[in-house]
Amino acid sequence: MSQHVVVPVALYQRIFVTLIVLTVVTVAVALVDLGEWNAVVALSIASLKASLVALYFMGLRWGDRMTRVAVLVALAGVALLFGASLNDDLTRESKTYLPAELRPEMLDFSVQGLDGLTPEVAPPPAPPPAAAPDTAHGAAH
Amino acid sequence: MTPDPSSRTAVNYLNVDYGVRSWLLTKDHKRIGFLYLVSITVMFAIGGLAALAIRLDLLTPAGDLMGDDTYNKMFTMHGVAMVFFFLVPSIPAVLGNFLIPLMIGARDLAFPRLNLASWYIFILGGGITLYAVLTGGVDTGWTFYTPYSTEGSNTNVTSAALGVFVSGFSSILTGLNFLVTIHRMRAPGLRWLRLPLFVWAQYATSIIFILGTPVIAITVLLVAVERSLDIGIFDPALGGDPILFQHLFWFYSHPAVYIMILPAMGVVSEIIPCFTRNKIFGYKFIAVSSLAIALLGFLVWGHHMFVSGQSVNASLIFSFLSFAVAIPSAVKVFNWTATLYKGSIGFEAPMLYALGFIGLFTIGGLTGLFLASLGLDVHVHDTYFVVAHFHYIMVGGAVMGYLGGLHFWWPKISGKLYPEWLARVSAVIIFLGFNLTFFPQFVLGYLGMPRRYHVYPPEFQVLNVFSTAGASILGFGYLLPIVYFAWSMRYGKVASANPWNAAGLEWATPSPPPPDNFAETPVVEDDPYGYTRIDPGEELQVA
Amino acid sequence: MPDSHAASVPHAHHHGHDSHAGHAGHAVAHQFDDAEQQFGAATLGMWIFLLTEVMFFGAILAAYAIYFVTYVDPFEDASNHLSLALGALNTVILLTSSLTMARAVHAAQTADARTQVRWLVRTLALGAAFLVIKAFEYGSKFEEGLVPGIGFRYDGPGAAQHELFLSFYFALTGLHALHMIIGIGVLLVLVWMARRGRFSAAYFTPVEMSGLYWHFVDLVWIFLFPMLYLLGRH
Repeated sequence: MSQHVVVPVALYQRIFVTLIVLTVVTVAVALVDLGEWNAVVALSIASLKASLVALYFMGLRWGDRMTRVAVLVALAGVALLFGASLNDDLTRESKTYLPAELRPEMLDFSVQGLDGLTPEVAPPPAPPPAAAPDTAHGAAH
Repeated sequence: MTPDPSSRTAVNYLNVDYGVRSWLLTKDHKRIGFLYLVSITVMFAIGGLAALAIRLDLLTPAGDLMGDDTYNKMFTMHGVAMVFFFLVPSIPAVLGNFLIPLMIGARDLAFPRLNLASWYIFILGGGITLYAVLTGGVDTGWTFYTPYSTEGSNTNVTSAALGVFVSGFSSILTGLNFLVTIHRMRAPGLRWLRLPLFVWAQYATSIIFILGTPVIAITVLLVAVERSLDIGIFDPALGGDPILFQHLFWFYSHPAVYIMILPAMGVVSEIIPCFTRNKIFGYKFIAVSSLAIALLGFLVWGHHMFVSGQSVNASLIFSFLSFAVAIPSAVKVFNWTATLYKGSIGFEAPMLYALGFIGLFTIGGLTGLFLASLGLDVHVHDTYFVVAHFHYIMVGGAVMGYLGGLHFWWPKISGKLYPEWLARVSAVIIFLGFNLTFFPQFVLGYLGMPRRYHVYPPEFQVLNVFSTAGASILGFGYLLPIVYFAWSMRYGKVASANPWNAAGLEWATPSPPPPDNFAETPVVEDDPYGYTRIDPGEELQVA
Repeated sequence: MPDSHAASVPHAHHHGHDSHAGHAGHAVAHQFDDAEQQFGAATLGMWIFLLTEVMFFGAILAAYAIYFVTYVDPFEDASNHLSLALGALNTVILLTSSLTMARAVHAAQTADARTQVRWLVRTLALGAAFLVIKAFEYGSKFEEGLVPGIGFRYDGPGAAQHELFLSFYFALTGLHALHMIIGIGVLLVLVWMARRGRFSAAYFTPVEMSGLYWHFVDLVWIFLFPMLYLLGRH
């Protein structure tokens, strides 16, 4: 059963200092260009900080089994939500909601003789070779 | 623990206090269950009248009864009222509220004030939705699909969405309360594998409540915000993805189907052993399959989106997992059937509903496999085949289970017996009316009649007339229990503590139960469903 | 099944006495057997509530993540509309408020009523400071014409995606701010209760539960800060 755990104040203070240091680190790293790794590093540090808050400030470290189960269920739920919807988004052949410039398959329409099917969109004249949806620079109208 | 025969005149939860105030401020889980019973019956009536209007309109191919806008508002009202304000709260909020503390030997739920708050939140959400309906209606369908709901529709989408948002918190609080109660407040000796299967089912349902409901809440809130403040989350003009809305919507709304069906399965698992006088077959399998359905239920939402533009990869995974749900569902059906084997089967009204449930749920489940198949779904998607399929699950399954449970525990709830003969007749009427209404819709859908259309080609008329005729029989069948339940509250024969000779802690306390449920905390020493076979020739004494 | 199950039931020992009165300190509600069961129920209930909150924020963050991977560059550009300094300052404020909240709970556990009120008030002040800074941030977005729906005036490259990003910014930080406001309301009640001597070494469940909530709101911000403010700084 749950019980009250009195945590020494010094431990709270150490955790707090660690959190502040991590905040400084995450801001500092964000100023350096690491390409795609910026987001990864930022999210990793955020997860580390969140774990410290949950484990020590919220006392998860001393919590009973059901508390941990609740946390694991929450993490699984979020992972499912992220995983399944991202899986759809990243594997979609045609993102019909995107502007025409961001849809590589639109460039092939004239080749396949399909122009005229989407009269409101004119395919851009010169197909840029590396126009994958997630690296589309300056997605302007 | 044998009930005292004089207990009828003793203090119980119904006569402990009188007056509107004592009901509206009650913290007794039994009274709150009763409040829910009355409120969802009102919502059921509203949704039912809308259904009747739809069916009357579809009597003729031209749809002569109402205009197409009105028709759209009718099926939206039917869907919103039935899904969010009747089916989702039905068994959990009425029977679960009433029975869980009784079944686990507790004096109340863990958080009685939160329980009352959940009812008020439900009423508030229902009130907002009714306001939306009465001041012009909503025409998006209960699914609120974007971008129509955010940009196209000029009806009261915002207030309807807010109503759904608010009522979601009622579900969350109910689920939270049930989980904590089942974890922390079981009577001594009531280990997990001694819990009644109804409690297992409610436990699984509560997990869906707390995991899924927040997602639909934020999703409909985003729709309301996008509509009223014009900020774009799903707006294609800003590069937003309307299919993303469908992901978030079905993340809750598919598991919501299991919110409706799991508690009904729990009810059936209680009724079948009682009216076969058999121990339930495969207790552990039925218990674990509830959890398995809750888990798998979260992994299959994409089968609503096979033709939406979802990626083929995602569709394949969702299709496969949807087939997997058939396994725990079939485990339950087989175990119920095995419980019937060599039982002393009685055909009292609750059992008629339970048997009806098994058959109709099986049809609904198997046609679900048609829809989970990628190829076939393209043919029948958004046709009456889908409508028939989910009504077999929701009406043939969930409503049958709800009515069966209501009849089974009515003596406990009201302290009175309902008229058994009339109840059997109405159970048969409902079963026949249901099948006449919805079976033709399988055929209609397979022939290509799309759902949510106000007019249809004349060659579909015969089947539509069958369906409408069935709907009026079904509607009459639903009226009967409302009338005789109300009648029995006043004029019914007084029920003993255990009129069915049923096992379970809830029958070990007087009917209706005293405010604190048990004179002293019961101690559980046996496994559940300790039924003994009745010898041939010996009649089960009812009441 | 064997009947030697008594040991496996956690609260078996507390049953059998059904008188609900006569406990030292705070009265145990009638549905519980004892204070321990009541505290166990409250803790589990709070964690389950936080689980629903995780799903609540998780849904909108999942939507945000999908758009981010779709529109990496416009979102990184749009992120620079936000003030890094104010965001970082607010992060530090919230982390500090978590420390003060933890110390308030600690004071409650060690039955130090005066210290407890002091730490609660400090937490409250930090929470209010966070909201004031947030309000300034919102105000400057309004002046710059960066509020979607109400006069969105940015028309640089990828304007539509910038508006999408800012929609998420307001939705996410708005929901978070709403949680902060609720948290401040809860703290006010706690201060009032503590002043009236409602808590003792035997009963301080509300303080602990509110602490969990406060830390959770901090935890949400820990994710919001890098996801919104730090995307495009390199």
